[in-house]
Amino acid sequence: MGPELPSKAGQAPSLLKVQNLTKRYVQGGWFSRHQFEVTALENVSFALRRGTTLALVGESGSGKTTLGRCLARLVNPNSGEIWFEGRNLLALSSGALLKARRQIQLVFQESAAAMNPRLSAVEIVSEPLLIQERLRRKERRERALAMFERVGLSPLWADRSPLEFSGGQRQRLAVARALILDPTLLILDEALSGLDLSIQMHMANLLLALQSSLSLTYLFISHDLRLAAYVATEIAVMQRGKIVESGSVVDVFSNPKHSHTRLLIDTIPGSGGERV
Amino acid sequence: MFLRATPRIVLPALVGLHLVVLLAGFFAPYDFASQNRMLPFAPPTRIHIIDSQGKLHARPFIYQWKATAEGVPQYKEDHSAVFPIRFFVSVPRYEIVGIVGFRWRLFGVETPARIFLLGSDAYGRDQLSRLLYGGQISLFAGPLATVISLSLGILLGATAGYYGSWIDEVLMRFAEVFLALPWLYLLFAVRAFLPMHAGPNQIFILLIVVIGVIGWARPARLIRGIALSAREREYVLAAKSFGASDAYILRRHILPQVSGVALTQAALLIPRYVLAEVTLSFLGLGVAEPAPSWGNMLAALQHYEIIGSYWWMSLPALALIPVFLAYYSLLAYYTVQDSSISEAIWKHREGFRPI
Repeated sequence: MGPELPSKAGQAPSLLKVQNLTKRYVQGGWFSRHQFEVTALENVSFALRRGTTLALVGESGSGKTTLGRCLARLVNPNSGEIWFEGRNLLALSSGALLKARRQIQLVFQESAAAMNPRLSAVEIVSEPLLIQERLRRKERRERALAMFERVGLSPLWADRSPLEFSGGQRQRLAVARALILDPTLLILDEALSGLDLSIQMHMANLLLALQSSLSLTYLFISHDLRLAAYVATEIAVMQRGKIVESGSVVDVFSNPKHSHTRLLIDTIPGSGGERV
Repeated sequence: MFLRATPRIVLPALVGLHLVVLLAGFFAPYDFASQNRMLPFAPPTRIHIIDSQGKLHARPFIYQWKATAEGVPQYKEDHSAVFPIRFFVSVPRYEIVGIVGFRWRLFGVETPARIFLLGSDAYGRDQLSRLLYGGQISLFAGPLATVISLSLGILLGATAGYYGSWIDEVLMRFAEVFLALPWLYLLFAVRAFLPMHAGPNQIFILLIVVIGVIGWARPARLIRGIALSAREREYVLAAKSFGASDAYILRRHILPQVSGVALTQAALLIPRYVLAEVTLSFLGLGVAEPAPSWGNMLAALQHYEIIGSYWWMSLPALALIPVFLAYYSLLAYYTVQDSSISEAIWKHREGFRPI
């Protein structure tokens, strides 16, 4: 184990601790005279306790997705540290990183885009097993079908193309795929955003039920504050690559300190705030 | 409806043609090199069932050609003897593609008569036999060189598209050089650097390697485009987040998408490469006499009097037509199947099927 992580007395220790994470993208080609940098993340720091849900909210372009992808080690940050279960994810050997990837799983917003249409549903759900455990086809299928039932999908649909599922069913498929390696942290990147309201509610309840039965930790990335408040215990508000305000959901909603947080709360439809 | 039936009709026909050519030893009545200096430029032998006396024969037969003038290849039928066509004639042992020994030919006539169904050439060699043996080189040059081109194209194109950055830049600038140079002249130039005199087998391998390697650029560019768009897909990103290696992503998510383009390219490249071999051999850069190729058989047509007087000498050129038609109909089929048009058409026909 690495250095002892600071934790408040009486609270669960941090599962994830992000320190001063910075990511800049360089725009413009090799020969272009107009190269310029876009800062997607600037000195982002936060901690996430085991078994809780942190909602990461903000407008589009505020760096939420980049942050999620940095944590899933799909994007390399320019500087900073990501401590996960006492180890810095940015300093792992490739073998250790492969093992660590089992613990952190990502659910994408566009489930249709995140699934190869040439594969069947059961192949998609069992793909992490193929990569991580090299199980035989039959065992992979059995475990995938068990996961189908866990997320409320019929195993009878196992051999369909992902395109034959409805949006909500496909998002369940995405959750099943993310859970099949038995992870501890799930990064839900706008996972409920493309769904209509009633299905959003079903999915949110499914996620909460899975969280308590599998003791999962969620990073819930969303632009929808109402949904964030429903799912999360803590909230962090992002604006232009920085976390401008964070705290428990109750505190932030009842007493928003930052002007951007107030703006986001006021623009919730039906909140009684000013119309924009 | 016809379009959908295309591969069911054309593929067996092509496979059949290639088999016949491969088994040339059996279907050809003579060896490709067997000469008869008494019968240069003999016209195609006529097959009869009624002889000159008006008598009906149960077995089809031929008459021997007899020269009518000294030194000029003009012939008339010699009605003094009847030579029936015999099937499954026993001959001295020969080898099929240098591997399997065989003692039978499909048909033949007894000596001294010779059966020339497609006439004979300047040395009195049977054109049909040479056409069949020549197909072993001309027809197989296409698919084999295409295998080389596509393998290189898939390997380099997928590498360029998937890894991007400087690898992509270097490979694609290199490909552009190959695309910018006129392909046929590049082929001549490269061929000119390589040894001219070798056995027919070595020359054949040399030809398919040169033709195949020079054609790598176009499939590579197309496949690079597919790899480039595929690697940005979120399902590739998802696989990476599970810890998938590059080899896994290429194999499972990117290369399966290449199959449509690969088939289309194959149907386009094969006839082109058949023609390339024919062209090289026609110009004397390919397979050398006495081994036949459709190209060096046509080389005789460079003489005006041969084209004018002996029409059967141009039959190897006509033999290319059905081959080209077959490949181009496959090209049409795969192109439509590969394009989004097919999705639009077939979506309504049998439910959505991602092709």
